Amino acid sequence: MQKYNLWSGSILVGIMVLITVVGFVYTPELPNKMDIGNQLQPPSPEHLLGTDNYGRDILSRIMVGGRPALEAGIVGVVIGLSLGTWLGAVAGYYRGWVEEVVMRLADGLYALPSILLALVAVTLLGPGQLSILAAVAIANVPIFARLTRSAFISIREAEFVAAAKAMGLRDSRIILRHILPNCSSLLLVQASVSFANAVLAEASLSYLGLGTQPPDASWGRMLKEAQAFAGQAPWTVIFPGLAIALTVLGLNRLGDGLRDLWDPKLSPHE
Amino acid sequence: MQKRIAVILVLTLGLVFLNGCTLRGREDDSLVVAIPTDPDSFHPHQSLAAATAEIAFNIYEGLVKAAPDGTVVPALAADWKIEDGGLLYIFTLREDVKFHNGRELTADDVIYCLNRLRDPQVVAKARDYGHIKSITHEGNTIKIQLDQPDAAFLAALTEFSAAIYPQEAEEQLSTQPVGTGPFILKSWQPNNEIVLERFADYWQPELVQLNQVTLRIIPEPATMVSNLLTGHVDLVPRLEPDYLHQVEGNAQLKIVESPMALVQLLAINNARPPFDDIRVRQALNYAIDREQIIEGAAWGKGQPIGSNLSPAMGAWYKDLTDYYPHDPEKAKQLLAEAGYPDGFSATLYLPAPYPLHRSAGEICADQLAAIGIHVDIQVIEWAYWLEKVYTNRDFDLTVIGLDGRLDPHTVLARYESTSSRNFGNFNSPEYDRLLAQGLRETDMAARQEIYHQLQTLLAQEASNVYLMDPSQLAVMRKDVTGWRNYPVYVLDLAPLARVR
Repeated sequence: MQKYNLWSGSILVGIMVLITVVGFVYTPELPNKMDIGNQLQPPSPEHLLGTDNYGRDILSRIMVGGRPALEAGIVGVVIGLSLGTWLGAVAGYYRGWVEEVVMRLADGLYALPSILLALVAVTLLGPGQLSILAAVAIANVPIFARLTRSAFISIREAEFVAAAKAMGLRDSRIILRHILPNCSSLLLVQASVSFANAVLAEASLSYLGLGTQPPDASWGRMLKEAQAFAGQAPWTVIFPGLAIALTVLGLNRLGDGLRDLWDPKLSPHE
Repeated sequence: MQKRIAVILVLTLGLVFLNGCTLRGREDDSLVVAIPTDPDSFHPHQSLAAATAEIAFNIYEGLVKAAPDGTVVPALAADWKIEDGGLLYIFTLREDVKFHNGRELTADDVIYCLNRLRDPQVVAKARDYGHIKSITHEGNTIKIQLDQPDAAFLAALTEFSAAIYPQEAEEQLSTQPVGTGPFILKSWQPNNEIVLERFADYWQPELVQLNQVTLRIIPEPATMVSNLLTGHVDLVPRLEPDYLHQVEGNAQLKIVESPMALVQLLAINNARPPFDDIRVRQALNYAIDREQIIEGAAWGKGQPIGSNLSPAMGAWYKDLTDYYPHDPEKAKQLLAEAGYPDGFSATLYLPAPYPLHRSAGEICADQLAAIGIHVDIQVIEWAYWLEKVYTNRDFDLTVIGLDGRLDPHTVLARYESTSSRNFGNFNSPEYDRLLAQGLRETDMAARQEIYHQLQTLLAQEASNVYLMDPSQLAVMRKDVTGWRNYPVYVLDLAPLARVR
């Protein structure tokens, strides 16, 4: 029971990642192939999840439509984690004016809604996946920076850090080898939450027409294109919606599960 | 407990009040109409948007106006004569006409407005009235002298730009229009709603049925449809075909389908390589399957076209839909001859606010991919489209609709090599010569033949890929009567009524 979150989350995320990975090598139909005359067909053995308003196979489009979402998740987390953690570590370890500068900058970024960041990126780079990646990455930096800094502030006062300093170790070694490993669980939990948020952000921005451009598929875009047909052909909305929902649910459960695993203080079962 | 009862009471009263709000203004003599965009300016000489002309049709009038059957009928002029081999137009002005500000219409107003209209320093559309040499009047008779016969002149006088307004209102017209039409602009809240009220002193009072019309500006088609389904809107004059199934079969609504006289086309920049090679443009024409586009983008609600004139233009129209049958093999062969055996890449701009053009564009891209042309689709905002494609002509391909006019000359003149509207850079000396000849020709049969030749030339040169004339789908509550469809872009509110 204790690891229920972890398992269910891993399975859901695993399935969605698997579907997307398989989409790179195999889809039942070409995802962008139109078939006028076979529009809005309900699910059938030929088209397991039905067809959209241009007669395209929805299953195939869902298989490739996860790419931009997962891409946004990976890029957002990797850049946020590397850049944000580094900045937060420096700020939390040295404190003083370094901390002031870094954290005020982070607060400034934090104050901007991520959708606004995305709009700025779209204005500068034009609509497309690149703008979304840029926006998601930038939005994640202050989140990780704040988290790392707060962890560093408390850990730097610990006795083993004082001991390391007394031994004359270099600052970089203390940060990387002594303090950082102690925050890794915290950062990993945040990474899974950030990943989920990035997937949602990509879907919303594509829904607004700012992300993936036609004819390419993305879960958010599929929802937008299906909007007019939701009543007549509900499968055009349900399946891409389900893909987004399951992925985000899975990631959130995974995050909860990881937290339960590493942070016994928070677990109700202890 | 008492507090809770008080809260419930307040809430209930609130609901009653809200209910009152939605019912207010929905009497039998008023109507709510949904339109997608805000007007640009109500000054006849400033406005460029078709969306404005469509509303202004109910506020302003010219000497003559368009009828639903595409003919020109009297308006402020009771009748007219054409003399001197098409060089002299004589109009007799009505005597019983008043402006919205209460003043009577005089011949001086007509002369003032038309003289201002033909001044290219002041008015962008002056070119359409460039053949006017002089305008004079004797009492209520207005004489317009032309410097050469202009067969499209009468039709040009029906346009919004040729509306007659009182000269003292010149400065205020863009936001407070003053005309002679059946409705007065009562209020205009930009991007929200426009309220029109019946003009009590209209010269044809029996024509107007409604006391008030509210035009609600709703850019999102889904919102438009949900407002219609819930009864907050009585009429959607132009429904996006994607939403047709949501209203079809609804017992509360009726759908009137008619040709829009719009020319939807995959426009090609004829001046930009590789499209400056006619074989490439022909290949595009062979690659496109119109039937699929009509089915896929307009759900079958449209008529295929083969040149830049709609079948709604009657005898002027020449059927050229078979000029380029769907033949991908031939298209590939033409591409190979032009030096592109493996195809090439091109950018297709699609205007974001027009779902029909967007869908058609996506299908075009799919069909072009089949002959090896990789199309990079970019959905762009309307203002950017106007600047980039229309004004700067900086594009490869785009899908757009060109609105209908009463006279074929006005429609086809956009392909004159020097026209400011010729954004596809079509260039044919033969075409320019024929176009000028058509304008001078006064014999109907000969004129018809010229316009048939012009349409053929556009097809022959593979100037663009002409797609369809989409159907106009007007959807209204069952109790709305009097809907009239025009071959030009107008919305005729006067005959509309509600019956019990």
